[in-house]
Amino acid sequence: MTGIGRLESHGISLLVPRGWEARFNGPAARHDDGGDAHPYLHAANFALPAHRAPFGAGVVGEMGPASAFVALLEYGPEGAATPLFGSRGVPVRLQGGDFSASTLQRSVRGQSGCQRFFHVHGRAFCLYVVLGGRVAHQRGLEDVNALLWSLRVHALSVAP
Amino acid sequence: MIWVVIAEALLLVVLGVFVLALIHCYAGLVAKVEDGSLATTRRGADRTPPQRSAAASAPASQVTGVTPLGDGVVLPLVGVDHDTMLAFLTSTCTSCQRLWSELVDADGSVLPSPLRLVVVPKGPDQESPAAILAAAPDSVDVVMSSVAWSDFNVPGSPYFVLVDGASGLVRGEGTALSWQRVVDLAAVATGDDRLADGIAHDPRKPTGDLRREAEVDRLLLDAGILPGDPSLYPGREGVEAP
Repeated sequence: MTGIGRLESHGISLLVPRGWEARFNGPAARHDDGGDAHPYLHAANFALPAHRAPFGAGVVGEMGPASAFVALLEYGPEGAATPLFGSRGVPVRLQGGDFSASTLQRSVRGQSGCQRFFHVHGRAFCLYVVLGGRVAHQRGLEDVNALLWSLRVHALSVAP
Repeated sequence: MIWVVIAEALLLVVLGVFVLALIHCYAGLVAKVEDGSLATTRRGADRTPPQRSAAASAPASQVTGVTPLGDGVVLPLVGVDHDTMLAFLTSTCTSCQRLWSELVDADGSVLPSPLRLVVVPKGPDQESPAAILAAAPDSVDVVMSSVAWSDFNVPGSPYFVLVDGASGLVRGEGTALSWQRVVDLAAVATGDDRLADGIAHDPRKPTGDLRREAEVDRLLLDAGILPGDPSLYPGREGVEAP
């Protein structure tokens, strides 16, 4: 995997793997299936549909066995100090065993999901990854880990 | 009676000369196209964009920029299972207005599947995000990117570049004033009859004419001249300088 597309927005930067699409959505894009008025990132190795909810409603139905989908959702900074987001740093080495059908927000045959909560620089995040099928556990997961490895979260400046 | 025969003979001679002249002109045109001199002449024109021939190397493997709302986005052009049509439009060029309007009327569905349309205005430093937000339907992928304009040497707007999803090669490029012409461009560039299905053919046109048209299209395509190319419409204003 070669990270070829650099993307930076909302104080988060990453390298987008070859053949992957990545999009930030600002706080204005608010939906009903989770998340709040904070930005979120969607990345996938297939074309993302125009209308997507933060946890992937509108996306996962489009996935095939080789598809991989990553959602990174930010929560309010007050969450960073809570036990839920107690893990520090971006998860960087997901393995096949971390994925389970029971983790899916919406159960789809063949798919499995993985969810991690963590904080970086006082910012609270939820990482949600969906693999479309057995094929995605190989190349797709490799790309997911490369993307996560390149992910950098910067501290947000506080207005005086 | 003898005068009638003489007149007919003279008429036949004149017609024969005309036919020979036409054949000579056609042969000359074909030779020019085949040796590339026609394309070179076109490239030398003042308003003519520096176009790559079909299947040129990939200028970029992705389009990186921001949405009109200011959110970062990266769209891949290589390693995907579809070709991508990049539409370089601006909010101010008069030739783009019809394209924006058709885009809204069709709710973004102006290209046949599996082509993916990505509208690429310049970045927010050179283009109004609010104007683009107002002009583009929500269903269309819009990436504001001055870098993409530079990567693809876009000479002006409107301008279209078709990128092969497997190799990243540029399969065709040129200007067009309607989405139907863009579909024509894609059909000729890919040789995909399924795309060409959207092109209206006159059923009354003789088969021989259609065959000759196809042959001329092929020769022009080989020379890097695609549907909508300004050189095909001398005197018509179409492409606006960036």
